[in-house]
Amino acid sequence: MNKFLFVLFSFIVFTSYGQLSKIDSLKIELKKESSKEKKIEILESLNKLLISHGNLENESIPYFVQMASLSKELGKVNLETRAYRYLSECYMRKEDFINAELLAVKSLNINDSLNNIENYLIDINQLGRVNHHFQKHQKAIDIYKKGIAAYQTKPIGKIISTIYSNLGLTYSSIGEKEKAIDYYLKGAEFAKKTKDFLSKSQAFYNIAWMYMDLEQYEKAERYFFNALKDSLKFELQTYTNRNHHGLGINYSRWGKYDLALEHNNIALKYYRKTGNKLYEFDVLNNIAVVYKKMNQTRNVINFANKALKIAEGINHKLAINGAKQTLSFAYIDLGQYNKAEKYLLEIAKDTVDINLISRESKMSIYQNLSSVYKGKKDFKKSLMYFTKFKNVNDSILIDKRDSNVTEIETKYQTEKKEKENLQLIADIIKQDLLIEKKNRQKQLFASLFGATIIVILIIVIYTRNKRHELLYNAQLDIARAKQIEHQKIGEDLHDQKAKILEGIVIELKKNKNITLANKVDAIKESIRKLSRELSHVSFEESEFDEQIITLLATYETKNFSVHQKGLFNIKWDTINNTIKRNLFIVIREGISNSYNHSNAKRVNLDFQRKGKQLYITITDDGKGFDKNKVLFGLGFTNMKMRINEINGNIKIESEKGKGTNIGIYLALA
Amino acid sequence: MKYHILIIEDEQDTFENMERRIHNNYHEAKISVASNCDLGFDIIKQNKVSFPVTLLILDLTFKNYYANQVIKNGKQLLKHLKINNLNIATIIYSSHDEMEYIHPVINNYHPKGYVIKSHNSSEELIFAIDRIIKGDTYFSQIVHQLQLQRFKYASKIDEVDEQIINFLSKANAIIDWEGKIIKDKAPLSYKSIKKRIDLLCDRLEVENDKQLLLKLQRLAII
Repeated sequence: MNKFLFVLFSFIVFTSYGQLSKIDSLKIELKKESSKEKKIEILESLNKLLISHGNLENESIPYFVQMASLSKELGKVNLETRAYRYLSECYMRKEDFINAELLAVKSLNINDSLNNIENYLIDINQLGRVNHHFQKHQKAIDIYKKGIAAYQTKPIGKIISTIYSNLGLTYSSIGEKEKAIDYYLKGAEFAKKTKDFLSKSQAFYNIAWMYMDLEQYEKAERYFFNALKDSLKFELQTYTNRNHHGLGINYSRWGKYDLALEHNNIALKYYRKTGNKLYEFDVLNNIAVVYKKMNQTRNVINFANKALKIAEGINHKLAINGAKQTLSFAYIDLGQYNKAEKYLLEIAKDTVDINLISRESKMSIYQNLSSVYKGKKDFKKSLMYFTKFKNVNDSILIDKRDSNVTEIETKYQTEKKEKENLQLIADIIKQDLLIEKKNRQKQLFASLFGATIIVILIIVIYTRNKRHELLYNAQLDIARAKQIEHQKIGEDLHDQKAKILEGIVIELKKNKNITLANKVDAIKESIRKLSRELSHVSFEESEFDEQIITLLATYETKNFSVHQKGLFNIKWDTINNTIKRNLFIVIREGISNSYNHSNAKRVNLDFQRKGKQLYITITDDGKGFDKNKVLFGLGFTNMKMRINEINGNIKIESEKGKGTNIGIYLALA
Repeated sequence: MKYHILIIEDEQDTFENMERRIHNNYHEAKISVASNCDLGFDIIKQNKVSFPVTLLILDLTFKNYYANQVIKNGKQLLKHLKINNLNIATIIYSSHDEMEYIHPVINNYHPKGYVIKSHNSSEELIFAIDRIIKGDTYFSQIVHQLQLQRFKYASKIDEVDEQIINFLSKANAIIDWEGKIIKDKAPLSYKSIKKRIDLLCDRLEVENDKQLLLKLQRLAII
């Protein structure tokens, strides 16, 4: 019974008061508007609201018709076919099969001719639903399958998951539960793929119903919860509460009455709020049934009466009968047979001769009537209804025996399906693990590769640095060897050659050969000077800065002075002696040049250290020279050589009349 | 035997001449001669207790090299003496008259005398010996000049400071300074002089003007 109601009204119905007021304002706006273009725009949003609102009464139809004619006039095919679909839905609600089918087919044909597969599938779904609604199940199945085939050639759109789900619904209607579950699962799968949680939730909801019918309440509960979980993702309360509703029924059947009442009450609150009468009726009826099972007869009558009132309010025959049946049960329990009789006879009129009504329902009515008359001590009537009850019951039992094998088979198939599903999940997990393993291997490989690259880089850098260091030191070693050689020559010149010359000078002076003596003396002096230049500069007794000061002090005269800057900011004791020696000699040479050749009055000597780099500049205010005309003398060549020897660079810049600038750059490691 | 004079000199002519001259002037002195620094250092050590060397006359450069030489030149010997705490009055007798040679020797080893060797410097050497035996110092004029020049440059002292330095040995009391130091053609007050003396003391790391005078003398600046 409940299931039947849900099959009948599975179309989305949800309402909100805010939307209602919006609908009204749009209607007024539409009236005022004269432009067709604007009108169609308003109609588009208005009709969307009407549909989502579930407001498909007669008064909505003119708007859909207007939308269809206007959009046709303006050549908006999409809107035109959509209007046909809306109308098809309206006629379906009005139980007008001919028009419902006609309009769905009209839309379908247009979209088919346009090869608009996405809309075509939506039309297929609508047409399928119409056929399903009017219990043309085989036709519905054919239509849905046609849609699925079309989708397989051209997979576009999200509607496919709904088509699968609806196909499942149709199969479930004709009792093919195995197939139904199969298609529901497919629907859920597609919904998951397209992240269409609404359809997924719907599919799970339907599966839950299937399991509930199969009396597998635990599984049903699980699917309801899954559906509930998904429904929370798109925040449509209708879906959420539908699952509460379903859970209420499931728990009621399962015998968990407290939970059944809890979920039914949640759903009831919502349906009352939104004014969805049919659903409210169903929930009230369910609650009554639960109380009946709990033997709380007063509550049964209370809720069943409420349900009946609503059913009568919406004038729904099936609902009215459902409520009356529940009431009759209660009155029988209370021994109020007249009331029970009245309701039962009212139901019987609509029930017993209609094939649509299940044998179980009929049987229950006969049984109850028999009980009623038995209670009223009208045993003849009681016997008559009991016989009818027995006949129906027997036919059911026979059928049951026959179907027992089928049932077992079905159960087996269902179990098998479950197992297959589990296997599928296991396979997926295995595959995931495999992928993860591969990924991890990839990562490991990548890390190893990275590490290898880093190690190679380190080795390359280390080797390069080492080579650089070796080259650097080799260069310094050469410079040092040269310095030692120079020192020996210098000492020899000073201690021996100069002394010999001095002796000659004395001899010559004794012999009064003054001219020659002076010449030899001059040679001696120049040899001493040379020896001085070649002599070893040691930093053992006197650090570089002290020696520079000594050097600069020797040049200090009235007309010439050297000013140093930054000399004492450098920790000279940390710098290699060979470097200092050559640097000292170059500075000495530079200042000597300024002093002897440039007519300079002032020389600036600047020192600057930046990390492992040392910059020295020697600038004078002398007459300078033309670099292009003056060939670099031995002095400059020597300076260059000495600086290069200690891994440095030297740049000598001069312009006639603008002084000379010597820039020295040294790498200290 | 009052003195023990050690001559370390590699030129035979020179050291024979020196030995003779010194002997002529100081009959009672014991004169030792070494032709290289290793031998000289041995003599110093051997006589350390019996008859220590009272005056060392040291050449700085030695032309002859020989195997297993330890102390190669005068500077190295001075270093050895310093390390071994052998405090011997020394006269450097060298032909090196360059500032870069003189300055480190004086600054590091504080010899009592420095005589520039030339063909007619033996008279000067005898004079230096005389001064030093009397507990004084003696430096050739050029040594003074160079040391003063360097000091002036390194310490950035002006003419007024120079006047003060030169007058330092002649001043015994505050009153002596009166009108002696002229700046911008006007005599400088003692207060200003004292300020400058204090700054000089700081620079040479001494405490008062007496110590300053001693240090300046020791460094051959005056």
